[in-house]
Amino acid sequence: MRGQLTFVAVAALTLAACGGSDGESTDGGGSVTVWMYPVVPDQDASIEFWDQVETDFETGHDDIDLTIELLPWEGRDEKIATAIASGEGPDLVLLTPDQTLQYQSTGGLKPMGAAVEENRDAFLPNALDSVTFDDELYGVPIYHTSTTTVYNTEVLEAAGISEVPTTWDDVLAAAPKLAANGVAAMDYSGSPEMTLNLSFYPLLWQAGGTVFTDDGSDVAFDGPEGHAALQFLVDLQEVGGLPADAATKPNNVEGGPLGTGTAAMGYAVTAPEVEQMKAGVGAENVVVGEPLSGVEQVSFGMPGVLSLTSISEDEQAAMEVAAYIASPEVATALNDAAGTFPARTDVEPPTGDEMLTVFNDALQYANPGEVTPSARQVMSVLSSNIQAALQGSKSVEDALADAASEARDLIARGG
Amino acid sequence: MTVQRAAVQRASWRQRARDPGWGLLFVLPMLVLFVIFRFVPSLGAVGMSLTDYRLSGDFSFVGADNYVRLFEDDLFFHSLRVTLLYAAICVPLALVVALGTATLLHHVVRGQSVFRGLLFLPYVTSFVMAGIIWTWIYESDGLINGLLEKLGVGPVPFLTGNQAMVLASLAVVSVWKSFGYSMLILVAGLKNIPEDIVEAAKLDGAGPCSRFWRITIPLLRPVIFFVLVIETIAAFQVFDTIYVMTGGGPARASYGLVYMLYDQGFKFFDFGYAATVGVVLFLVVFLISLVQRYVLDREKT
Repeated sequence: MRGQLTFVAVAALTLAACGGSDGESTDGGGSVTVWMYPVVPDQDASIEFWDQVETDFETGHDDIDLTIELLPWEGRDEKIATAIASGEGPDLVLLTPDQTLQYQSTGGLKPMGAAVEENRDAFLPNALDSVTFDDELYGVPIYHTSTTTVYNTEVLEAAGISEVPTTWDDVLAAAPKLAANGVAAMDYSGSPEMTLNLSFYPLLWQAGGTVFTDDGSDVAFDGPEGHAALQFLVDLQEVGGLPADAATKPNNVEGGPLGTGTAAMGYAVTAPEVEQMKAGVGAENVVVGEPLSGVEQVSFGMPGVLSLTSISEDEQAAMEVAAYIASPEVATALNDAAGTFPARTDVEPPTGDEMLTVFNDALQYANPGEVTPSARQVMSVLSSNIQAALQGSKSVEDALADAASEARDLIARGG
Repeated sequence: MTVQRAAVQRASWRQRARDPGWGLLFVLPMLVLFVIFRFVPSLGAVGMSLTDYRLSGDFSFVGADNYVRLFEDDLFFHSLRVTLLYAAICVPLALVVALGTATLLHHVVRGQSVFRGLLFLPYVTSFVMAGIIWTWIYESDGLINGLLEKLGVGPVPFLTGNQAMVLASLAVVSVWKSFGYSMLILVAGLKNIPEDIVEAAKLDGAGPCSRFWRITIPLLRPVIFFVLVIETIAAFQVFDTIYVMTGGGPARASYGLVYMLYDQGFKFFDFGYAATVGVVLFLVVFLISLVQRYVLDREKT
């Protein structure tokens, strides 16, 4: 057997050869690379915004060369994993809390508590908690997302529904009337690439359930709450309340059911998506409401964090960059440009459109997702079984039971 | 006939080494690339499958644990079934289409190069773009279903229906994309069939059908064997179309072996297990190639 070093080099070459990383190597001595994603949804605005951040930072810190690379959402896990494995990549990368746990537990991140030492109290405690593992902070929150319901009042009125549906019962009652007009009551995206945080989990939480048990050692979605949530979807589908291809369709508002007026409401919609819907069906027909209620009123909202990778060579400079991007000035500008919300208490929520107030209020109902080491694998298992249930090839009981047994195997193996 | 032996002197070793030596020199660049980018990573993957390699680069030797886990994993057998079913649909289809177009091309008198170019065109398109556009074509309100609607036939769930339907739809895309290569190989094979055999058959009164089945096919056997092996290997390695068009779904109906490898390696970061899937995939394809060789690549009768 060859030496360990050679083996690791070979394996890294393998990954680099087939993964194709496109990160730049950091030379140390004040050079920081950040991988950023389309938080600002419009591409041109995104480029303009982050260029400005780069310029402003370098003006205040001329010994640090900052590069902010903009990448698409798709395939980000593969790119990040390849970059870390091959040693060539960013110092800082934008992650979600469960991504942060995934990379931290596989040794891909370094703690960065020093970046927020001075003003830790300014950040939302939940936001910091969601990326604190083994008592160390692994991410600096730079924004918070908020999702809530959005309605197409035009199609609702055309079906004779005067009040927007705010509970599950309302939605079920409205579905047949809307279906008679060829409109789905609620949009639902079951594609395997879609995160359940924006599709099934909010419904599970609204039913009063959770994905995992409190200590994360077992799954809990196969309890009565999980059954209630999946049954709600199946029942809704039976009366024509979901889009025809709900089991496999991807999540897009523009060109999708919400944007073309063939769905009456969405329940886990972001502010930029509301803008797309307004552009599609007319701003006067779009109304944003409080999060949907089942047994409880819950929506999904989580912080976006900048995390320090284990391949970063200039930690000090990287932490200065992270602290700067999380600072109130940049955070306010980012929230303005991206339609996101503050992860700090010393930042004013965005004003302007009254819908932003509704989104900000929805933050109090926001569940940041259940972060455990096997969260992503469990999500993948559950997603394909939900597809089976929506396609009618499995009953609700079987789908959840199969998903739960596969998930338990996963957890037993250590994720 | 006497064998002339005495006249030929035994050439010196230097002279004997000259021809293969030059051959090796010409092949050397390709050989080096092959070793670096195929041979070494393959061995590396075999080694990785014996460890629990993590993202950070730390790993510990776990012996055959990954293999034991693989053979107890329902998901592995499911994806193996999916891949076998997909290959069973895709390979015969590819062979029929390639052979059909090659035969047509062979008999075209004028403009053969134009038709050859047109038929080869899909091969040079990108798999990802082909996948995206074919997804649109297959959609319930896409091109095909739109035309079917005019004929009064309901929307066909090409990518959202049962497993056979989904795999067949994916197979059509793969065949459309890659039949050009096999077609060209078969055209070359057809050109190599000696004209006098065909003429003799015509003189004996054989019609076109029996000429095709009794002469063309048997003489094409080595070429068909090659095409079958290539197409089988490609069918077992299917990934791009699945990734772009169905994401392994719906409900894992199109969750092939390479997709499982990608899932385990890049979504779950379990590189050792993913490498195990890769090694087993290699062995399966190797076995099938051996079977095909035994059945098809016999000595010429």
